[in-house]
Amino acid sequence: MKLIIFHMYSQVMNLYGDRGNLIALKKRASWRGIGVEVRDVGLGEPADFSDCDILFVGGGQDREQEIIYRDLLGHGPAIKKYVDCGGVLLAVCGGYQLLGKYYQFVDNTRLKGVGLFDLRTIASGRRAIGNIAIRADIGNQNIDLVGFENHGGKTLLGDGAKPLGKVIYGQGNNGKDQTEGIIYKNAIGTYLHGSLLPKNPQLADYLITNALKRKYHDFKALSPLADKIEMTARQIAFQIAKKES
Amino acid sequence: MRRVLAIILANFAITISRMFSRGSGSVIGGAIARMINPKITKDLSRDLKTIVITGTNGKTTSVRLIAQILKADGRKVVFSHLGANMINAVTSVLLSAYDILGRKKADYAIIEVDEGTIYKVIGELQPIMIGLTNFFRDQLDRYGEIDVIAKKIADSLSRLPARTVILINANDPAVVYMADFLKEQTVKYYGIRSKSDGPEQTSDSTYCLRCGNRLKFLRRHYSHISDFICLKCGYKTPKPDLAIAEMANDQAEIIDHNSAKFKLALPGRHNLSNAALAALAGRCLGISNKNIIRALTNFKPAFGRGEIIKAGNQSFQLQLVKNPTSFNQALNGLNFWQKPVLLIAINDNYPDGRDISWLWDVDFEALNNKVQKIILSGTRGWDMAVRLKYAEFKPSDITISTNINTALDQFLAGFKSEPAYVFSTYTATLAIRENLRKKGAVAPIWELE
Repeated sequence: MKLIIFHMYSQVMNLYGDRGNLIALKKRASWRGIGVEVRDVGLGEPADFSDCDILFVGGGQDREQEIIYRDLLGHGPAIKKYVDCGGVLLAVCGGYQLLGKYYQFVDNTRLKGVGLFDLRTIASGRRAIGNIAIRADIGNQNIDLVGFENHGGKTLLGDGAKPLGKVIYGQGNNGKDQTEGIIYKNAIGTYLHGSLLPKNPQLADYLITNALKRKYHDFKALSPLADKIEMTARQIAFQIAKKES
Repeated sequence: MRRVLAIILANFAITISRMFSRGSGSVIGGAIARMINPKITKDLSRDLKTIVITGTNGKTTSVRLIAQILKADGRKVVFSHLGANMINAVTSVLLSAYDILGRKKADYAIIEVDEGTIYKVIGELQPIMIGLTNFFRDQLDRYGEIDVIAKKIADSLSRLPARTVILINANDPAVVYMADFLKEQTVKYYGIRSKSDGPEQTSDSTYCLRCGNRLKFLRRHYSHISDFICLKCGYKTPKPDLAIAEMANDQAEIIDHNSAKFKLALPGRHNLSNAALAALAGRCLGISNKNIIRALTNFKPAFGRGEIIKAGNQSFQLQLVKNPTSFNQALNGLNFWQKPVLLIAINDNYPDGRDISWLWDVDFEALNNKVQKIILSGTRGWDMAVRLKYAEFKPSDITISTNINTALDQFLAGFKSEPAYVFSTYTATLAIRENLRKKGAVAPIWELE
């Protein structure tokens, strides 16, 4: 079995450790004997998502996001089709925002988003920065996710949109409604860095499982891995988030 | 009168603080002085020849290099120790140029200033010279984005008098960008030359800050420190007024109107950059090649900046790490003549940077199977363990003790004469220093020259 991960704009949207998400996916798959190929999709490059098993878009500095957003809009229809057909996607921070309906600046001008996620983001003066813990509802599991958020935009989900989880400690999407991230079919958007997947191996496995099920119809389940180190690190991160709140 | 009073009281506070061993008093003196006389920083800076160094990496080392160069020329100098670099600590350095009775005992003050606050603080300092080391993404939870910071700092520097000398790293695109805003000041460039590209690692300045096009690196020294050019608008590495070239056999060569070969007492290309900055500063101050080279050759690094520490019969190298580039550079400098023993202590206190995501941008994979054992410590020691698990390190080679004192004891008990290294974030480095000071292995900071 083999998975192909499309990493969009890895040269530009590579803010702080998002690489860890790719590393976690690659290793957790390969430790189960599943081959992984990572394809970088750069600015101006075409992408055919029919080969894609997991699509990843990271975060970037505001300047970099302005550079890529037009290019990302160009891929918009293909990305929406990919997700509507059950494609697995993970978008962190800037990627998460740009896959929404729009991003509104302080002067009320708007940056049009891909429109995959039913959300909008409004630039805000105060940044939400700190350790965060959320209770996520994914598949039929309730799991706690830990990470670090750092964003100036306040994201508001549409009425029917399902958040990735509920904030236990931290700000989340907008510091008001206790939601964090979004989940839509097999696509997940979130503000959690940390990196996200290494300390939240169940989430990494959830993405890998969904990708394998979509590709190999007789695939049942991943064999479990010993995740004691990750669990200890998570516990500590959870306590740090608790102390900070 | 108020000024002398402020100086006396502050220096008294520093002395008392040292007697009770609460650090070197490096912040308290400045805080007290500013309470008595809020203008004290400005006054003191004006009466001394102040040189300010700012940027992401290399500030502490560059400050010390310049200090050694000035001392080699017989000039009286005070300078920042310990990497404490915000306004109170800066004021304390200026105060240390005065004795306890308020009499001046040094002519030059070389000050490290935090790049996140220099734009606020520069108005109170009256520097004759400013050195800019580089910009790397560091502690994003504190600072934000590089081009925004560069422009903010450049705007604040653009208001300095025309005779202020500003030393710019010709190999850092974001620092060179600042020169666009410094038309009135005296800008000079320093750079390095190397014979081959460094390993491809995280790069924070890949795009032209003038036109947004992707930069082409003609020579990549390390990370984005390079000879660069933008093929769209022509923005490129300016010709340096002084360059240091990396030569064979650990030698280096100063390249300007007065070239000379020497052996730099510090490893790594990042230190060639620091040395080039310091040498150019020396040139601008009229110091002879002989004295510049003497200082560079005999240089002893600051605590935690690659210095060799002797504890009993053992010796190990201690290196502060703060962001992917400094860690990658530190790992590049490891000696593998025998498999080394490592202690990695990662804290996430405010000065360390609270977001430890940056560990995923460090190339630990390159270390795999090359080390004998690793001890992990600090508040985020377990995050380091996760990082190494995914870099496929053998779990049997790794021990985790979040308590730094315990970890340090295990580390010292774990090797005899093999190469041994400690990599630690800022507050972890301070904790290690304090532990070693109690063991008598290092002198108190304020006794360091």
